[in-house]
Amino acid sequence: MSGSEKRSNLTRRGLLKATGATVGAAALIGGGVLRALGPDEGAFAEEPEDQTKCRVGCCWTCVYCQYEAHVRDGKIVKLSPIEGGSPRGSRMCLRGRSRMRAVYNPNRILYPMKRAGERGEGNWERISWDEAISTIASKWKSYREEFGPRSIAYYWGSGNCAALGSGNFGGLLGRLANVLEMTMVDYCTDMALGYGMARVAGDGMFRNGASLIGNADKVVMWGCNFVDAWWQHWWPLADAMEKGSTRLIVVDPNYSTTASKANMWVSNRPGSDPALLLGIMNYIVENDLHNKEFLLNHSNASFLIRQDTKKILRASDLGILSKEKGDSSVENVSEILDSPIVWDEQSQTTVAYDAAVSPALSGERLVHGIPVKTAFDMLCDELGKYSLERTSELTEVSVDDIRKLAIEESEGEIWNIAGYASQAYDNGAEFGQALATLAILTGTVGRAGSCVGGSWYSFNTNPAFMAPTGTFVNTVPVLSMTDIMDSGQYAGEDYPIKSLFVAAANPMSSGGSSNEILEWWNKIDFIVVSDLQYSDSVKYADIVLPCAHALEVEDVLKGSYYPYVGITEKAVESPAEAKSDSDIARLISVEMGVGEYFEKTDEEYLRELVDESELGLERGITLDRLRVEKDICYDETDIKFYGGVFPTETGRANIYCETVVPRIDWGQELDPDFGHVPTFSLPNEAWPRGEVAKKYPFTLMSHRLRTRWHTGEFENEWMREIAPEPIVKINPSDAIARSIEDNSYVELFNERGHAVVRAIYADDIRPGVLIYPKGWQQCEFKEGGFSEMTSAHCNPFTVNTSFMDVAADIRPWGQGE
Amino acid sequence: MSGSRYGFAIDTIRCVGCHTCSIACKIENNLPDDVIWNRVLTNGGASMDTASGTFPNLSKEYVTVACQHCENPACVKVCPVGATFKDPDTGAVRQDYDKCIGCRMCIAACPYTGVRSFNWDEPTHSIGFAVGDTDAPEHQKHTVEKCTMCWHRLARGEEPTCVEACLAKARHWGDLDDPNSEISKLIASREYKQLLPEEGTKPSVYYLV
Repeated sequence: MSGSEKRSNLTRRGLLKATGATVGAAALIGGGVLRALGPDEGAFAEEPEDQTKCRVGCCWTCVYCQYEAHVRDGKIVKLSPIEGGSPRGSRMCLRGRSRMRAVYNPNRILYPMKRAGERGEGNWERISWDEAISTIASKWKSYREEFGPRSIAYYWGSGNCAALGSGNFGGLLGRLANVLEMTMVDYCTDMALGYGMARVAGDGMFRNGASLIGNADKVVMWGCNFVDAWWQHWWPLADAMEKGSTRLIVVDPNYSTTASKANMWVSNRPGSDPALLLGIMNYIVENDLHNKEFLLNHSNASFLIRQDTKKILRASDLGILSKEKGDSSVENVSEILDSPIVWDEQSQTTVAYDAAVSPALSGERLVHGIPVKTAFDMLCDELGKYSLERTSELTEVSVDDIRKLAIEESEGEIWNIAGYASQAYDNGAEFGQALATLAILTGTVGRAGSCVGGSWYSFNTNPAFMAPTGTFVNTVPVLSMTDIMDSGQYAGEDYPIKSLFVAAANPMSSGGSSNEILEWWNKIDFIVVSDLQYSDSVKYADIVLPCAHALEVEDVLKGSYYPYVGITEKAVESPAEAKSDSDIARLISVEMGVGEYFEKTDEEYLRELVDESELGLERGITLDRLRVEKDICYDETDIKFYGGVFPTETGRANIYCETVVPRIDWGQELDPDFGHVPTFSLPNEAWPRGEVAKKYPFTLMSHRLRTRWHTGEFENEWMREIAPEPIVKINPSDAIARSIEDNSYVELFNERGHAVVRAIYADDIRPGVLIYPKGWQQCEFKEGGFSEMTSAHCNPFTVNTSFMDVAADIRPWGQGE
Repeated sequence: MSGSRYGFAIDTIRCVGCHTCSIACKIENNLPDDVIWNRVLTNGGASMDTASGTFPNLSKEYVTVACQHCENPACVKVCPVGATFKDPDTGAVRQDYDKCIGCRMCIAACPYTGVRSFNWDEPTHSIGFAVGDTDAPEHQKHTVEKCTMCWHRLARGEEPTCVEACLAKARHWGDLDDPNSEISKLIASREYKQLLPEEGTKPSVYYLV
């Protein structure tokens, strides 16, 4: 842009005149308004005449901040905070501020393209939408006829998680996948935490609303770089710390920015978090610091567990029928079918759990000849293996620090917040289960000042929208794709997959072990990727569809880190031939002969999703209200598991999980005794005394890159001014031992692949650890890429990608700078 | 509001180095490519986002540095054409691009290296059009630029963009001459440090520690 271009009809001379420091003078020149400061200033400016404003929001899965888009000459010129503050209480970050770059990216995908040459060559031929859709439809119809509807697979990520976006299996594309009974490829990402916690709580567990954090005496962050990854929530915690009401404790192998703000930082061996939690819990129990009242009233701690079957002792085991079966002569029997049984100290007999006056927390005995002990005993049997000394050996945390942590965890109001790092090891579910159990053991959940878990809210939209024909996708985990494409089988059946459709996702970069992904990817006949940018996944597509940016579509922000549902308005038209996810779904549906289920407008579907949802009906939340009010709170209480009630069979938490099921079941062999109580298993490869470590001694882990949302909007040039290239941070002692100089290029490598990046000396990195910012695309590396080295190892219970459970090595790269 | 002496108080305990203030400024003021007026410096190791010390005894702090809007500005003294001047109404040190001849004496004189940028060439904008506010000053070839304290926003009763933008609510701005302003109260009640006080330029930016 030339410096002489006028933007507001102000000439340089005019500007000069106006900048004279004349108090009280007003100057109106041309189309702009420029006033020197006057004595009665105070009114906020309105939008200039040639500019409009609308309310938009980020549709990724960080915070869903809402803010204003300012449009001038048909272009988004500014994204700025809401005047008076956002009802959500968040201020958007540098990514939200600069988000229009993806709309105006000179490399943006604007037209449908088809591959001209081999996959991955990067040669494309522009085609019409007609040709794109008819190619897709004709191929899909023939695959469906020959191989069945499951032969078409659908992979989504978190690229656009508004109500009509395709992220998190939503929108019309998700609906289409259900109607066409496609295979849904589960992206196996960040699932271990919730899955592990669900063994205890019946569902994933989450922290309370950020505004309540000052009620905690302390916040303990586990593998969570809160101030970088969830920085919009930092200010309420900073306020609370400033006031002195709340202290911050951070458990993290590295000295993250969050650790730098903490009152206490504990560095542990990566992947040892479950062991640390078990050691803490053991100390708590051995020193009689556990919350017996909470355990007896809000958990299944007192339930008797049969030692022969490892199942809960129930009324039927004692020959007692429940009331529902009509045996009114039986006393003290619970309303629930086949009630769990406890030992009542007062009556010295077995009773239904909710009829006991003083249930025993502990005690082995024979009941009707069946050996039993309490769930609490079962837990303590496991905890007893984790003395302070053993825990210290496993975690590399000093006995003193473990004791300090244990005492902290047993006193006062506590928020135990989990990030996604600790769950990204093979033992990730054990971490979730252990953390949840700790909160139950100490009764630190269900109050303003006490909660445990990750961060998430969802305004659950009307589920009927997703399945108008009552048919559904069949789920396969992405971690099984190598086997499926090699064997042609899944869950013991023939399972041919002939086509893959990718939307709101970048599996080639964000998945585990990209070279392995490429192998199964290339066994699929026909691949379609919908995106705005030439991501690593687009590179290997057969047909590319140009999708709209979320700023070009009216939609509803349904997920969040606040209990709010909000509008995101359409700021500008989509350029060239880009189409919204909804329109892409409509076009395909017509050609596939199911167009009748996609005939309504976006507006009508949004009403179906929002107005007719359970919360929408309950609270009168409608699209019309959202268009006017912009952001609506649907949970003022904002306290999770309020009063210590859990979505389980009995409403109580399970410190003993009776039935452990895998996250996805394909008939895999499982240890029947595993998972009833929290345990600690070694990481798959990131362990110093393991076999893999002999060859690859470093744990290679990732952190969030402040300038990207995963790989999203990676061509944002403003962001590249801040972070111009991929790096790896290494402790100087490790670097020097390998003759690696600060700021020099290095090769990271393991048996799965490599990456050439710039090494940065960082004392904040734990020796033995290498850390990289995730989100860089292959085209941005000198060679290779981070995703080559991550792992596709699949824990049979968790079925989750263990992104941090990676062993690698590092050496100088020969070619200089 | 006449005759105010505006300054900044930036809370380094709260600042997490997110760079949102940098980018907000860049967009608001339609800064040319590769120009950042408000930089985020890491007070720790040699590289951005690294700590000082030896593991595990470490410390790290972020310090955001833009023009310090000094009370006794070295730049104003050396400018041969009076392009750099201290605005008596706001206390902001401002730059008149039309007067600026590009001699860069101000850059040499200013002890806060890096807060001033110089447009060697015609400013370019990779996005292809002007962003930010229409009344933010235009950029000119062969002139020196720096933080303007968003005087175009002050002129309409708004605070500087970087203050509004801060995620951590770590940035404060106000009248240092008004004892009842939030900033005056912060400086009176909190420990703070300033950058290069020994240079004698009397910066109007206070870093709360």
